[in-house]
Amino acid sequence: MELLALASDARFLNVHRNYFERQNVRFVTYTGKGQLEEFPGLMIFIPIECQGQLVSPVDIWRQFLAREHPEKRLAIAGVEAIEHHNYLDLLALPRNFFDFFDNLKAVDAEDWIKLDTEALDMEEKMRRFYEGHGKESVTYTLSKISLKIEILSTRLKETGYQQAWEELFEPLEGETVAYTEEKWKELHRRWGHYVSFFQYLPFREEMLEVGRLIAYVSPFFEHNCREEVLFTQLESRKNIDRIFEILDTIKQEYAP
Amino acid sequence: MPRKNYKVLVVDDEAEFHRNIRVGLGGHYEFEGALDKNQMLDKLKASHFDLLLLDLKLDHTGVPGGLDLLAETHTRFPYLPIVVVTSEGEVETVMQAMELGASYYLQKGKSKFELWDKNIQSVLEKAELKKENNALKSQVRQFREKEQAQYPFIGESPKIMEVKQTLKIVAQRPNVTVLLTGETGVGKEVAARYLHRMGARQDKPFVGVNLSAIQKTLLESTLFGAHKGGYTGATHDIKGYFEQANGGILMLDEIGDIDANIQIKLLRFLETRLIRPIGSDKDIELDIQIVAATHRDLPKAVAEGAFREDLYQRLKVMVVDIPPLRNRKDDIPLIVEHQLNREGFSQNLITPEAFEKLMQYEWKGNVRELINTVNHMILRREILQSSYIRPECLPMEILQFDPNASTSLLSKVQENTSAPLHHNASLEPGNPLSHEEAKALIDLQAIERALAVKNGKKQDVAQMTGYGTSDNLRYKIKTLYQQFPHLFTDFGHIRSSYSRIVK
Repeated sequence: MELLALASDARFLNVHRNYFERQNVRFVTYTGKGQLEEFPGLMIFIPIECQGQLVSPVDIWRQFLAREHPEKRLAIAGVEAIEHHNYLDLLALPRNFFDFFDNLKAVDAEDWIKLDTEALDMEEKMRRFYEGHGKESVTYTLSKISLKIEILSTRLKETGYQQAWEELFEPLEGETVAYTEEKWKELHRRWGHYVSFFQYLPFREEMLEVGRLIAYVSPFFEHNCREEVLFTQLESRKNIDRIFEILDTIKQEYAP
Repeated sequence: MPRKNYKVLVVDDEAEFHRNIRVGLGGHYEFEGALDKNQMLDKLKASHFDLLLLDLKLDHTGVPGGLDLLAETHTRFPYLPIVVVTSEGEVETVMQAMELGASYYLQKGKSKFELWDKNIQSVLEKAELKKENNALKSQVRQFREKEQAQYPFIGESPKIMEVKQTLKIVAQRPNVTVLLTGETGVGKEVAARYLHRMGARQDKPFVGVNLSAIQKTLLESTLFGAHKGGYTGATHDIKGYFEQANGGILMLDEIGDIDANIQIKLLRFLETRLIRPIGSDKDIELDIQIVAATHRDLPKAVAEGAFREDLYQRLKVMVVDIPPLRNRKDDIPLIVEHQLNREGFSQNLITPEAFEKLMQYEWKGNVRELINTVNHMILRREILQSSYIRPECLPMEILQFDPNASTSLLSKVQENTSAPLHHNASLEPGNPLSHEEAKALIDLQAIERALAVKNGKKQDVAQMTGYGTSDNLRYKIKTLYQQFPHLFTDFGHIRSSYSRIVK
């Protein structure tokens, strides 16, 4: 049997390779949720270590599977002493892995117990990403940039780029920094801080797309939106809309 | 069509948002801005705004200050439409905002900016519509109050209190047909309007129709409506009184005067609640309470075959008889006082002697006659330059009324006026007088008596009869003679004093 495996440290797998080979179980590393179709389930090796933090994506995965693939099995493996119906203690492996696997609780079971681990729940991490630590959340910052770009597009139907730019982007009297450029930098900073966590989540591919789009349109914002040619060629409005749409959809589903 | 330049107050703590709004929507609105709650309240107090655009995250301390501010603002300025601007777009927050009084919400980034203008415009239009609606409601309320003042049901005598009580009970049954009976002038329309005010249909129309005042050939179309071409001369669709009264009360006054054709149609409505306009092939269902009224003796008309018995049976579900004024004289002081007050006077204006005369009179014209008399007395007082309404301010027929005499000439005139009237009638026995003739006769009798009392002194006669000057008096006699020469036969003093006019 082949199973998808999600781990931050390949050593977990290497250490127990012999056991799983004996049990006739082979792991394939998770790279995107499209793989799920081909496997009966996913095993998450906890804790996930990311940027020096120990995190657990189990709850987010469970929510995702319950909604999208309720027939798939979700197993959690680790070395912590945890009592959980779907937890495989790597220090006390069962004689027959299939006894364990066949008795896994379904992901949409009403009596699913939340995994009690010392690692930080990724749901909390997502909430911090979206809500921010103080003044503004990611979506709030993005919404301001998006509004600006929409108004720019509206104005361009009536006037030239230079005039529209002066009306909307030229720093206001007394301002030392350009507003939109500053907001973009803020968004970029926050993205850079969180992006590595997203690779362990079901919406990994979507977040990768957001990363690609941010990198793609950055030249436009880094010059305080001054260059019309960048605005047009980089399809800035369309791409900002897309970034907003992806982040907002994920927020509604995983960090409401 | 050019759009109105609406005045909008934008409330957001970021100057950048104000700039966005001004640039993005500026051409269509007149914007003012406020960066915080205090600025906002100051501006709202200082001038009128058509709309408030409020950032829900006004307070960036993490406390949902915007919602509190929204609630407070809506309470203080309930007629100001508030559009909240959010960035988060949580359904819960938006719903909370709407519950707290927001008219709409816009989401930065999520709501397409092209639609902001359209959405704001739509909120403004709705607010205008609401304002117009409120103004209309207020007009209706004022109209009702005015109507109430115009048609007060005055009276506290036991008889009238009983009528009021009955009407209050009937008012709770908005589908019961009511038949109001009573002499001319007792206040049947006033009673019907009282029923309307007291009942479930008070916010719906009250339509009163005097059936005897409408030409017989037009009665059907006037009542039930007609489609264009429904009959010769119907050049456009006519909405009849029935449709106009839908939802409310239709008062059909002088129901005893309608012909057989209208009787059948009215019967059909009472049985089916359906009418069919002339020229239409479709029935219209209506929800109307019918209040019919008549001074005629309907059972007698039924016995004589002039009124359908089945219709009478339908009408007499609830009969309310309004007593004549002579049977409830306790109400005379109240009615007199009301009318005097309405004209800006107090009851003290009338001397006890004059009042006594009013109390003694038989009031065959009932409340209507009493109100007209009060108006007459007020005018006469002015003409006579008297401080009070004294007996000489009374019309002659009241002044000379003898409560002990069984019938007087004037009461005969009164009897004639309450009988069916016909124009061009003469004083020949059996030919009843028209209203105009009866009125003229009363005036002539007053002048004749005054001439006798004042020994023909025309100036004194003019003063006594209320015409003020001898010229006015002469003009009056001349006009009356031109209109009714046949009435002058028995007035010797007038004939001799005005022989050049009365030939």
